[in-house]
Amino acid sequence: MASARIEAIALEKSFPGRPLFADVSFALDRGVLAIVGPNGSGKTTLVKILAGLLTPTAGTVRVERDGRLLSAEERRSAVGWSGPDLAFYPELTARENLDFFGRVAGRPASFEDIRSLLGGVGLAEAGGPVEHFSTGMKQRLRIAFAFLLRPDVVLLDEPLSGVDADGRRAVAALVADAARTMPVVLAATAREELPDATEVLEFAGRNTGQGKRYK
Amino acid sequence: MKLLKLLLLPFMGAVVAAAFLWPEPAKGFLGESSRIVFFHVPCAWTAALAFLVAAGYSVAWLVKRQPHFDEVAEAAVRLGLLFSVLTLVTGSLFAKIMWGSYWNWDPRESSYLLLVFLYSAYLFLRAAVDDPERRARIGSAYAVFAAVLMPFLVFVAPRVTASLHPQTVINPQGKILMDTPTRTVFFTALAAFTALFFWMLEIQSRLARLDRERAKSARGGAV
Amino acid sequence: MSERRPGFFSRAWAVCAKDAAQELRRRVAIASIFFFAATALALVSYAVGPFGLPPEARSRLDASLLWVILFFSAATSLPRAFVREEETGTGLGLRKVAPGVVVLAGKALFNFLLFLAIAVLSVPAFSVLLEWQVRSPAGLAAVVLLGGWGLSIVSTFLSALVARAGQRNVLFLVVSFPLLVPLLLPAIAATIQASEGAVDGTPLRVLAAYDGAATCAAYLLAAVAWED
Repeated sequence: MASARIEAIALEKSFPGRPLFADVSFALDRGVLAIVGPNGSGKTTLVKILAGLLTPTAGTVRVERDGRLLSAEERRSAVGWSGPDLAFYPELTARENLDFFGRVAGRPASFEDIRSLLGGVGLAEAGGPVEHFSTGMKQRLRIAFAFLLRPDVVLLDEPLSGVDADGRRAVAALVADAARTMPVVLAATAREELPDATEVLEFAGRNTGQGKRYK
Repeated sequence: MKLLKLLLLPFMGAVVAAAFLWPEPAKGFLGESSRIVFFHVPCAWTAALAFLVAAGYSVAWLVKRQPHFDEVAEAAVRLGLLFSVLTLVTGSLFAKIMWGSYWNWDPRESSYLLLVFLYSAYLFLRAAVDDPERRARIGSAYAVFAAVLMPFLVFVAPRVTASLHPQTVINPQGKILMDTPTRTVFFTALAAFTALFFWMLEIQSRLARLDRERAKSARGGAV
Repeated sequence: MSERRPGFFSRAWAVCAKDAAQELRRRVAIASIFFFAATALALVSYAVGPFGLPPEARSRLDASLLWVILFFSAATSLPRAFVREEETGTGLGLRKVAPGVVVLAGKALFNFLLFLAIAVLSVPAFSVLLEWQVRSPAGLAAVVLLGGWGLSIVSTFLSALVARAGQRNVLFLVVSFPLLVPLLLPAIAATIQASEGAVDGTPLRVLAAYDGAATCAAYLLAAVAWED
């Protein structure tokens, strides 16, 4: 069983005329880190930086597996991510979407794997193209996407938004299960939205330019 | 440096005067029209030079990601647009005198029209992007991509189809067939236009840098 | 579990297959391309007819008209390669799991296959409607393949650049036109040669060189166009 670690070192992000956050650092081996803050405070941007989707203005992100630093290409599949602006191909079914992402990532998932993944988020019965999915179903599919490539680190931005009670239970179970063996980073506006976290990073508000420095 | 810039004005003036006064008009051309070579060809050369400069600085930006490189690239493209338009205008005047019509869809003249489109496309593309970092990235990628394809535009396409254009003007065998006065003025004009281009480039990119720094300090020093 | 990691081509093929699946399910987009080609053909055929052109000019004009039809039919779909990913928001997921070269290759391949499909239908129809004779079918096949690939790779790359800008449709035409003219001119020249039967290979070599240069440049710049 591989052991993984994600580390943020003095991360800073600002857009022209708009500083977002600075000097954000943390390290996580296993368990849950919750990033909490109001809208616009930079949580989503931070999570995207951790996921490799955005480049920080300063600072670095390190992801290690078994003590070895992973390259940017390896991080693509080693770091699972989902966020509110992740969308799926409306003409394809949930299974086809996940199958596609697996193939294009170079890690095709078997029919069984995808079926159990969808089952884990409560979408086992969902047929038909994604364009007919409800908000809650799409959110569940996002969670499935995050776990698709058998990641070593999982980042979930707004994991429970739009999801009903059943879905919340399923997601919480998935997160708890993952957190036993790998680092899990969650982000949301309110603490209550998130399954139990070991550690919390608070983002103080809009354009403060300073995240709480966390170790 | 400043002295050289000051000298550029009288130098240019001397070139223009010499172009009209010193060499005899070339054989085979109507009246004084061959004098256009002292302006038309340097403009064409400068337009192509501008392209190379823009492409070079775009590559530099892609590697180093320093804003200054992008500013120079953009300034070079603007100047390239100016000089290629001038090339077309001087060329059209010549065409009217020699062949009676301003435009003939001749491959050589058309390739410079395409250069005008290319430069305009670059500026249009940049104008459509708001974020400065992304604008520089997309502009640079386009400039480098276009630079790779440019040889086909300027050199190959005209050769695949026949051309009206005087065979590299007064120079069919690749040898310099000009008489001494013509040759002197021609190469001097080439040098003068090149100097002019670099001077204008320096001013434009300096202006862009000042704009950027002013905007930065207006924001209170944040990046 | 040890498994052979899928290589570059199978990943690119996944992108191509996915685009094809989307288009075939939507049907509107594919239908409109073929409808456009059919309309253009009908228009040209009606206006010009098999005998409406003076014989000396025929092969030049026919070749030009053919490429106008092919190019503009393809142009209705070429820009959408990347633009649609951005519009629907799916680009984010794709960017998470795949590098730019894989996505570019897959989409260029899809555009190429689509172009070939348009050509396979349009060229025989054109030949029949305008009594256009092709003395060297091999030469014509070569132009269509080389010209089609060049068109696809350049358009797909530019689509990636344009996808994250505003005013996308007009912008695509503006940025692609100057770069595609050096492709279309030799393509037309080679088509004229193929129809007259006197294929000397020069325009085809130019096309091949263009394709090679464009493919290398697109490959090297793919990561730049893809990053955020």
